[in-house]
Amino acid sequence: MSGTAAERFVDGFAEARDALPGGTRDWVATVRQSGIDRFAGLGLPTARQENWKYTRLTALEKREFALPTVDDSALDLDGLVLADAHRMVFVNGRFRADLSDLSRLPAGARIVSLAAALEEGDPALQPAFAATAKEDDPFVALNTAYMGDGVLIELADGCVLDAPLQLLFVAGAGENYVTHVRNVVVAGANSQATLVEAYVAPQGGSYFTNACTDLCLAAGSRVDHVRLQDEDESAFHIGRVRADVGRDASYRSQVFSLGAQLGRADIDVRLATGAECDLDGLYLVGKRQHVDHQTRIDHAEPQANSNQLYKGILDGAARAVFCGTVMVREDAQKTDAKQMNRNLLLSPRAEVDSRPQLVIYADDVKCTHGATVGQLDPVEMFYLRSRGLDENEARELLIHAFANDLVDRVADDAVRGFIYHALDARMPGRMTEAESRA
Amino acid sequence: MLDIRNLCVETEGKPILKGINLHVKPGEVHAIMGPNGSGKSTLAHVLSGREGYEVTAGEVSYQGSDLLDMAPEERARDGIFLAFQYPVEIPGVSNIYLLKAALNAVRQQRGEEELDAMDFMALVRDKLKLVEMDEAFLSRAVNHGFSGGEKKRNEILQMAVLEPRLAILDETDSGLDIDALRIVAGGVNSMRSPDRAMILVTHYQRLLDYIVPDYVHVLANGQIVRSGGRELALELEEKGYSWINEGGATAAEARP
Repeated sequence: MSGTAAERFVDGFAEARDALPGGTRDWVATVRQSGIDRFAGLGLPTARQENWKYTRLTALEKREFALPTVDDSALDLDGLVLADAHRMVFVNGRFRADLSDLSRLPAGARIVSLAAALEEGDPALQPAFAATAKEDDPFVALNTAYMGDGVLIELADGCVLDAPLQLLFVAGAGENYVTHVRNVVVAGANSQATLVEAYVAPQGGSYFTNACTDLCLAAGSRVDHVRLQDEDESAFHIGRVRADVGRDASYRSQVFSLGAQLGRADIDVRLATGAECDLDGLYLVGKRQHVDHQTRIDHAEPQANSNQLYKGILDGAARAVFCGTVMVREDAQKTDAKQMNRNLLLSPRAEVDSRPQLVIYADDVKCTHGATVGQLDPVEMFYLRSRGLDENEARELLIHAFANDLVDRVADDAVRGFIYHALDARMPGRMTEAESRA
Repeated sequence: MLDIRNLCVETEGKPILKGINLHVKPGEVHAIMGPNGSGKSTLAHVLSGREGYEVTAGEVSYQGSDLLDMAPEERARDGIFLAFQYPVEIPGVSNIYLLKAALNAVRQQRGEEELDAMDFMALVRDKLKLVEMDEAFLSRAVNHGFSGGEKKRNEILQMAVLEPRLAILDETDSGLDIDALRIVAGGVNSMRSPDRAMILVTHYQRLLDYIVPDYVHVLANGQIVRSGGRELALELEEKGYSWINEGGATAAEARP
């Protein structure tokens, strides 16, 4: 292994580029080159950068990741696919038409794999990469250089996606690979959709997911975006979501982070006049897992609302970071912004850094923020035990209770069931029971 | 059913109970009365297994088992129910879910099958009537945002569903207006039976107008200083607790 991790990514590009989707298309090749140039200039983030202050990338940097091998095997996706949803399945970062179902899309909804769109040089993609030369996030720049697959969603004005679209990213065969997933969502005026972006690893594996989802919501549109990070506990996941929310449009994000040894989930939202966004987040981690959530909401124009609730449950020696910034610009009068981060520590070795921040330049606004860190309440524990629940049942019930309001806010029944299922499998109550018997 | 012998309990190094003796048989209702700080609630807590108390001497036998050796949930599953003085709010857990989990735990211990959803709802609806509670309470979070009276009625609802062998009611009358007190007492009275014992812990005799006890014990300064029938409660009502302290053997230690 030679050079730094960043150098390895840069050095590997020349060899990889022609084989990447759309690699021979002029504008795609230019965008990719621009991405790698930008990444070379930025390098990987260090703790000296404010938004990486609490997250070390050392474990990631020590590893050498290759591009993934193709996995065409038949996969058992039982329990992972949403019934009655439009579905795209990706294995090792590559679209698998045989496992997907886009047969019932309504008129006005165009949903294709990103690789196919890149191969065709689809002009709908171009705006998403227009600012690559000025990209400030090294992982996004890297993603732009190497993007392998993902989805392009185009909704015509007024198009309503009748059922959720599930984007299921499955870690398949192999180890030590990196997938650069890129999703581009262009929602026309007054269109509506529910997206379920899920990263799962039913067979385990140690790999790196570098995912980026760009959404552009035109006036009056509404996108519900559920994002489940349920990677293997030895994996790395860097996820970035950017949403440009147009006039009177609504963006609702619900993030569930359960897996990965190192997980990062950034969301950047820009709100136009009268727009609204709800950002919910739930992280449930144990052992030596580390998750970092960063939100930045830009109230750029007047009369927009934002509402954030992030909750964390930490067991073992897990560590979590929440850093949320709400920026209210000078013109953004009548802004209503709420931001809250609550944390439940189940172990004395767990640790959380919470930094809710408001930056306000307008004077006629309503903004609140707060953060709490606590433990299971012994009085509540005793109450439940006095009703016959044993210690583990009581503990699990209280942990569920802490998490439930966020899960209950998932509007679609099937999607909510899918999230409950993933959450249940990670419940620390079970882990403790096993540990207490050992 | 319950035998308490010379029970001595400390909390934070301070003696609270100083040699309690109490014998409760199935079908009996015992009232424990006493002034604030006499140790009434401590006795209720120790019997239900709450942490934070150290038993320094004595023993408690429940149906032949060493009660003090049992975890709170084992006591509950074996038929002990504590109605809390301050019922605990648990946001995020629905009332119906807790009722079901609690009933299943108790039934499992008794060697009974879990009730199916239909039978369970029928049972709960029946018990709701007893405490005059609306079905809407079932889907609300446990005690969350309930008024004082609603919380106490919810305790009695749980008790009615769980059908304990020994019910301990800790200051169940506190904070109740007369209507709520009547409802709560009605619920409790309907549960009196030859094989169920009850211990009512109360400061005031008012509750005993509605739930008439077989025995009354006066607890003062960590000891039972008087025991008698119902008339003892009336005597207390008339003369107050200072009379007990003046006349009792522990007068020297009595607090004002």
